[in-house]
Amino acid sequence: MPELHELSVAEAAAQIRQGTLSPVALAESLLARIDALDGYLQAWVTIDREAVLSAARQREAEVQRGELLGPIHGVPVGLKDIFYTEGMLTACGSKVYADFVPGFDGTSVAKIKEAGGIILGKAVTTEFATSDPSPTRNPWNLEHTPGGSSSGSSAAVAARMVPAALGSQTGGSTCRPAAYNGIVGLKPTYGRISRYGVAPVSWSLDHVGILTRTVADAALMLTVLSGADDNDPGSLQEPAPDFVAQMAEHDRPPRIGLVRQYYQDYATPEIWAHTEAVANQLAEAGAEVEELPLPDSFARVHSFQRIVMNVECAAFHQANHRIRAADYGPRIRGGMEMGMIIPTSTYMKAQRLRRQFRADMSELAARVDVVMTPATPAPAPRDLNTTGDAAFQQPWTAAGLPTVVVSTGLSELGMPMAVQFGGPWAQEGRVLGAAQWCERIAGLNQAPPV
Amino acid sequence: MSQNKDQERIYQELRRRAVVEFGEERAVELESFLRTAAQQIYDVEGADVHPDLEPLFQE
Repeated sequence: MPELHELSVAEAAAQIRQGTLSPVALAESLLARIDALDGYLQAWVTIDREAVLSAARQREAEVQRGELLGPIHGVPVGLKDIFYTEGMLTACGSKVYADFVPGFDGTSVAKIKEAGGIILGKAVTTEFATSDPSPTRNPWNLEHTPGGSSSGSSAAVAARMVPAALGSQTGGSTCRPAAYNGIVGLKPTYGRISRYGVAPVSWSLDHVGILTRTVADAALMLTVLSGADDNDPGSLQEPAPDFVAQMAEHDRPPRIGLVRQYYQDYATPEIWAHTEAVANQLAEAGAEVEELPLPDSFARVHSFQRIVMNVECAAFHQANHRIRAADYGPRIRGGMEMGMIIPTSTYMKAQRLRRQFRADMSELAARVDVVMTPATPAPAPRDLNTTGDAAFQQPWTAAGLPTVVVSTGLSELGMPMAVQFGGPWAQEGRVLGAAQWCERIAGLNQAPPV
Repeated sequence: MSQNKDQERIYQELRRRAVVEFGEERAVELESFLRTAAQQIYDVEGADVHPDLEPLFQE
């Protein structure tokens, strides 16, 4: 029998439904795990222990009455500290928002509660989900960065402090830390999960992301969180499907498009050799693997992604910058100041290039079941002054297409390595199915040595 | 004109804007940001786009 803090979302939810697991015992186990580890991992910023236990007692009473609220009834979930939580500090890792207590729950927070989930607490974020590092450490080695910007969410899931946590991604902030921490990261299609009640970095690039330890849990959480939201102008208006069922339909040897161009040159030899080894392993297990060339528009994606992000970030923070510039960290401040002086015509051209890029990447993704790349250029750097390199996520974020990161091995230094699967617009089920099949064949399936 | 000259021209214009917006002292601190932004602007401005291509916003 696994210890309670080892349970996945699906396992815990099933046992609670069957009446064999107490939501209170599960919450107490996770809180004890946090007490034991967070002194040095520093993954959490706010935990209201009494509120957690009170919610767990309520969920337990509902189970006893046969009144299950939804598919994650009684399961605790962590939130990156940019998600608005009614009456609970949401400091966004920033001095500027140090006292900010929202008056309402963001849509994702409300959906978790409606589905029976329990908000375990707020996980550390880099400042406003950008690139000034947070204090969080990597549970695989405390001298290495956990990545960012969803640093606390990723480290907490990896260290078995919580089975699932929400992150966000504007560049690489969900899938990069997922790879660095040896867990699963899902960045859905743009607009699939509402951003209402999430502090923005860049409206046209921001995605809500999901961090779990299994692909099945990512699909379950996506099913809970998806759906049109009139409060988010970028929300997908189509009905959200059952992603667990879609994943099951696609859980078979896929046709994989491996991208060598750019990724091989940019990755370390160790990462690229690992990626090829995983591709070979998948091919031996029945996948069809072919190489795909990148579109010409790929060459400029990192530049136009960064221009859009800096300009929109500047637009959001401009008023506070005028009076509190010194309260911002050096990287976010420098980036937003660039956003204030980049010509408007350049910003518009960057957005025009994005439209072409999305069309080109959609065409690429449609040629196969999933596109496969390494998840990161290198394992998590042994450097706490960086959040690492998001170069392998930025193209997918700019295009708004779904990606899933699956951890597939350890480096010579014992740090996780991972592959990234991408797919066509709104085809998360297809990507999740291929990722789950890959997880079964080549998944790391190992806990960090904390 | 060579790539280096074009990028230097973009950098000088950005730096001029930075001095106006944030002052000379801050512009000096922003040197690496200005160089990176100049490279990004050069990449974007050097791309061809179809005249009918509209910008991508939230959709």
